[in-house]
Amino acid sequence: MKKVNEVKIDLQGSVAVIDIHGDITSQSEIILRSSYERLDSEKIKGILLKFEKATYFNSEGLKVLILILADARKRAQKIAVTGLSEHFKKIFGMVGITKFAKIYDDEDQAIKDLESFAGEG
Amino acid sequence: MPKETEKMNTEPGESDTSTGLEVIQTELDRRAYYLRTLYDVSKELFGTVNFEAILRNFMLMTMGNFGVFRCFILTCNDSADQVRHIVSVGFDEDEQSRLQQFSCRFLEGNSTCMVESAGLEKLGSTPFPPDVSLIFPFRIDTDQIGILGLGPKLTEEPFEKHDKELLGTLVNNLVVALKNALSFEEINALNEELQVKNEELEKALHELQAAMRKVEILESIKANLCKFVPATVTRMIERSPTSESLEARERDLTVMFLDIEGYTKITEEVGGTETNSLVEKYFSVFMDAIYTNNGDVMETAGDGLMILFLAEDRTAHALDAVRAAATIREKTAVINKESTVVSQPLAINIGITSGRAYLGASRYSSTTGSRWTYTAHGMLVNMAARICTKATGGAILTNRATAERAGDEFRIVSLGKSRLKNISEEMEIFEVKQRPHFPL
Repeated sequence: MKKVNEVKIDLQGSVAVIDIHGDITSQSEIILRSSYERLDSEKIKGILLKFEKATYFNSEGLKVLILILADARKRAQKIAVTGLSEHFKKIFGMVGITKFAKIYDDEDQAIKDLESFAGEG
Repeated sequence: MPKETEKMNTEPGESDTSTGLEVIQTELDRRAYYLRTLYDVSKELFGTVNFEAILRNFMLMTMGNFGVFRCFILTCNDSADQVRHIVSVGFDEDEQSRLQQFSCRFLEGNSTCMVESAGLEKLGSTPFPPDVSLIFPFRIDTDQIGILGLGPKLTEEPFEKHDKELLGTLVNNLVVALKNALSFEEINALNEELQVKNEELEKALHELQAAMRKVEILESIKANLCKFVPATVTRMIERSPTSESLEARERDLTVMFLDIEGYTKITEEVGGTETNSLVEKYFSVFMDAIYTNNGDVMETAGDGLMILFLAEDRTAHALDAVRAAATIREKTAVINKESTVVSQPLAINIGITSGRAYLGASRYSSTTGSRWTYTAHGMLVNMAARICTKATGGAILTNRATAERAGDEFRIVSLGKSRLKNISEEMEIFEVKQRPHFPL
């Protein structure tokens, strides 16, 4: 049974941590897109997408991430991802998401890198 | 798996083995992902029967699956000159118009093979929108074809053989889902048509039922009116509802007048109510005799009846009339024997004439409306009435024509010439004698 998505946004300076619970499928599009759209694109330069370990992504879920990546590129925002299982790390690599979003195991490190990127901007 | 990996890592040549295992593992992951994709795509595609929603879902899932920023799907008619649906992500408005032009040009050439960007340049002068790496045409049915276009992969790698195989399988699923959607649309259209037809049928049924109710009411009115209308007139109106057949025409017929002798005296003797029931009793029996012999009562007046016999054959209607008259006389005798209401036996006097007369409808108009009657007119009718007044004691009198036509079956004797009221010439009158076989 699909889990209902719950999203929490935590702003840490110019970095936004979007904490996402539940599987990422076509049902997730509205909540993920609206969470992303709510961020101030002028102020937020780094975004961390924080998933749970057991999160399942289907093709449409990956598409939602790809569309967010495309928008982030246009806004010169950097995206990082944490909480992926080994399986989905590989899938993200196969699909090419890793070209545009770096995958971290350590959340603090991810935030630190994003802050550093934002500082450069 | 991790344990095996760990064990193998300790063996000699561990680097090669480890790389080999990683490759195998990656391939397994890729295949598992593809399998999962097939499952997810099928579930999404067959979860709806909306044509446009299927196209959009498929496009978005394909983007996620192959990791592309840009994708489009276009469908058009078989001759590729009429675009029916287009869905796209990552193309602006100008590019969309170029997409349509290119896709139609591409499909016009009946291309059925998957083509990569390198091959696209060979297709002619139509400039292709940038950042499209793969084109996949497909046929939905005999009337509709489509094309799927994918932008470059995020990995910046080319579409591999296994990608194309998966894409082929996915597009096959897409076609099945689109066919289902079209069938569903067709069924819906047929259902709607059926619903409209059902509504029309229901309306027609209601109208028919209303008409039936009217017919029932009219039948009921007719049944009641028929009690008061001669059967001849009813039959003629049924045969020809317009009034043409009722127009007065001269023809050969037989007229019979019948009255009860001494009616006024009887009324005085037994009273109006008793007389009425007496008349009903006798006349009811007479009706059988009249109708059995093809006669029809045209007019009634107290103690008298005017009856017409209208068989096509001139001898037949004369014989019908004489037979009816003889039967009336015989039945009167029987009732007289049984009846104790009046002191004297009832005598029914009858006058019959055969010949030509005017038969048809007459209209009497007045300020309060008009009234129609259907009867016979002319000297023949007057003579029958006069002859009837000449008859006494239950006699049946006729003119020469009736006597001649019925003479073979009945004994009819001449009573000689006689003067009738208001008729200038004397007229020979005949009497129908008792039928010898009738037991009195």
